[in-house]
Amino acid sequence: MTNSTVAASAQAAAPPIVVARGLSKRYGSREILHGLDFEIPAGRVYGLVGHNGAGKTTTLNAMLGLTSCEGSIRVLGLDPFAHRARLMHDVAFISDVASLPRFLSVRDLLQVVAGIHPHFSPARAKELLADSDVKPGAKIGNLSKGMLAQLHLAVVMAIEARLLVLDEPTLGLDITFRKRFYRRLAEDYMTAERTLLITTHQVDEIESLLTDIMFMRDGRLILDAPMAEVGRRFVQLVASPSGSEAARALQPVFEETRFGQTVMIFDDIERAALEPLGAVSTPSLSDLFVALMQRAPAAGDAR
Amino acid sequence: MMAFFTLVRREYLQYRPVFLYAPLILIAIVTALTVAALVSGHTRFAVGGNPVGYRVFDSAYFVLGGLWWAYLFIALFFYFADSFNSDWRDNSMLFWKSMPVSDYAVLMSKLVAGMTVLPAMVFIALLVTGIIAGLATLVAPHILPLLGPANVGAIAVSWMQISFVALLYLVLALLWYAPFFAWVGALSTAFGRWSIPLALLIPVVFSAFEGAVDLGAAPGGSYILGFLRQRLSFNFDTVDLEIAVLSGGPIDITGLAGRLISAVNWPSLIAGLLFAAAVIYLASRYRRRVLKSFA
Repeated sequence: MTNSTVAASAQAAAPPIVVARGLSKRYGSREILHGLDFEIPAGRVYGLVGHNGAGKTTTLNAMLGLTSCEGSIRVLGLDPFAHRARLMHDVAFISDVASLPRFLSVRDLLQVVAGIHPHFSPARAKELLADSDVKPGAKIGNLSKGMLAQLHLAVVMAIEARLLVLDEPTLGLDITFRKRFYRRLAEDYMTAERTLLITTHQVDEIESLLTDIMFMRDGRLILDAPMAEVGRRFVQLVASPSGSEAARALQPVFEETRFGQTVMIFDDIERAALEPLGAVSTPSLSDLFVALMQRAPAAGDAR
Repeated sequence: MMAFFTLVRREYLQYRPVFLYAPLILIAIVTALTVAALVSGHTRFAVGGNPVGYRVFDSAYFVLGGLWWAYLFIALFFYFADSFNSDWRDNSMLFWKSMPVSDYAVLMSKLVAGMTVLPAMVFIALLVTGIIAGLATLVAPHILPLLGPANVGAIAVSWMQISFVALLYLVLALLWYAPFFAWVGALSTAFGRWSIPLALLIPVVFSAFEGAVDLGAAPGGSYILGFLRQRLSFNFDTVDLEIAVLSGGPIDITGLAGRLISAVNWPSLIAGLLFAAAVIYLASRYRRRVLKSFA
C-alpha cells in the first residue's frame, strides 16, 4: 500500500470531526436552522456557502460552542456548548479578523496566546510573520485590515489544531491579500490530519482548495457533497441554437441567457445525452451556487 | 494555572494606564509638591507640640496612605465597571472565545487582577512616596528652622511600621469590599458602563419595594439599605488607627494588627466573598450565552 492509500484508509476509519443531527436554532419565533444533518470527516477541506442570513454563521457558532442549539452536535466527540474551553485545545477559528485585541502589541499577543494555549508555537507564528508586513513591535490597533488578517492567520496556523474554522476570513481584503491568505493556508497549513471549514462569498477563490462543498439556503443544507461528486453530478451546457429546446426537455435545474447564449445546468444526467446539444462542461462553484439558490427546495435536499 | 496568570497579565496590559501610568504620575506630582513646599518654605505643620522630624514624617505618610487608598478604591470601582465588558466593547470577544479558557476563568482573572495587581502597584507607589516624604523630612530642618532635627533610624522604623499597618488595612479592606466590586463587575458584564448607576439604583429600587410592602416598618426605613450601610462601613473606627499612629509614642504594631484583625466581622466577610464568587459565576453564564452586548 502506498502512503497516500494508508492515509486515505486511516481517514476513512477515523470518526468524523463533526457530527450534527437535527441541528436547529430559534431566535424567538423565528427558526434560523431547520434540523441540519451533516458529518465532516477528518482531513477534508469544506466550503460552506450561502447568502447572507442563510444560517452559515449560526451553524459555525453551534460547532464552536458559541451558541446553544436544539438537536445534537458533536465536535471531536464533545458537545461544543458544554465544553467550549476544552474543545478549543484542538479547534482554532477566525470569526472576524478584526477581533484581535487592539490594546496589545504583536509581540504581547504572541506571548499572551503562548501563555494561554498549550498547542500554540510562538516560534512558528514568528516564522510565518517573518515575510509579512507585520512587525513585532506594532500595536494591533494600528494595523491595516490586511495586516490584521495576516497576523490572525499566523496565530491560528501556529496552533496545532485538528479543526480550523474560518468564517469570511478575507472579508474586506483586496485581491492581493486574499490570494496570499489562501495560498499560505494551502501550502503551509493543510495536512492529512487537519480539517478545514471555510465560509466565504468569494467562492471561486477557494474552489481549488476544497475537497467538499456545502450550500446553505434559508437554514437548510441544499447541497453537501465531495467536489469530485459535484464534478460528476452537475453538468453545464452552453446550448447550440438548434439544441435549446431538446436540452430544455431534459429538465435543467437552471437556465439563463449570457451574451446571447443559452446556458443550462443539469443535475444527475449523463454527459453523453447533452453532448449533441452544445458545449458541455463542469459548472464553476459560483455558477452552481447561483443555479441551486434559485431552484425550488426539494424534499431530501443536501443529498 | 499558567493560563490564568497570563489572563491576569493581559488585564495589566490592557489597563496599564490605570495600573502603572497613573500611579507614576501621582508619584511625580507628590515629589513636585514636596520639592515646591520645601523650596518655597510655605509649609505648615498641624502636629501638636514641638514638630519633631519623625512625627512630621508619620503625619505626612499617614495622610499619603489615605490619599493612595482613596485613589485605589475609586480606580477599582471604575476598573470593575469597565473591564468586565471590555471584550465586547473592543470587539475581541470572539478572539478570547477561541482560546481554551472558560468564561468563568476570564472573569475571575479580571477580579483577581483588580484585587491584587492594582492594589500591589498602589502599595508600591505608597512605599515610594513614603521614601520621598522621609527624604523630605530629613532635608527639611536645614531649610525650615522651626523643625526639630530628624533621625534617619526613627524615620525608617516609622516607614516600616506604617507601611505594615497600611498593608494589613489594605488586605482586610479589599476582602471586605470584594462583594461590592464583584457586584459592579457582574453588572458591567451585562450592562457595560451603565453598571455604575445600576449598582446603586438596583438596591434603592428593591428597598423602595420593601418600604412599599412593609410600609417602612424596618429600622431606618429599609432592611436592605440598613444592611448595605452596615456592610459598607469597615468598622475600623473602633481601632483608633489615627490615634495609634499619630499619638506621639512608639506604635504598638502587634497590638494594632491584632485589633485590626479582631475588628473584622469574619462571618460577614466570608459571606461577602461567597457572594462575590456567585455573582461572577452568574456573570460568566451570561457571557457564555451572549456574543454581542449593547453596552
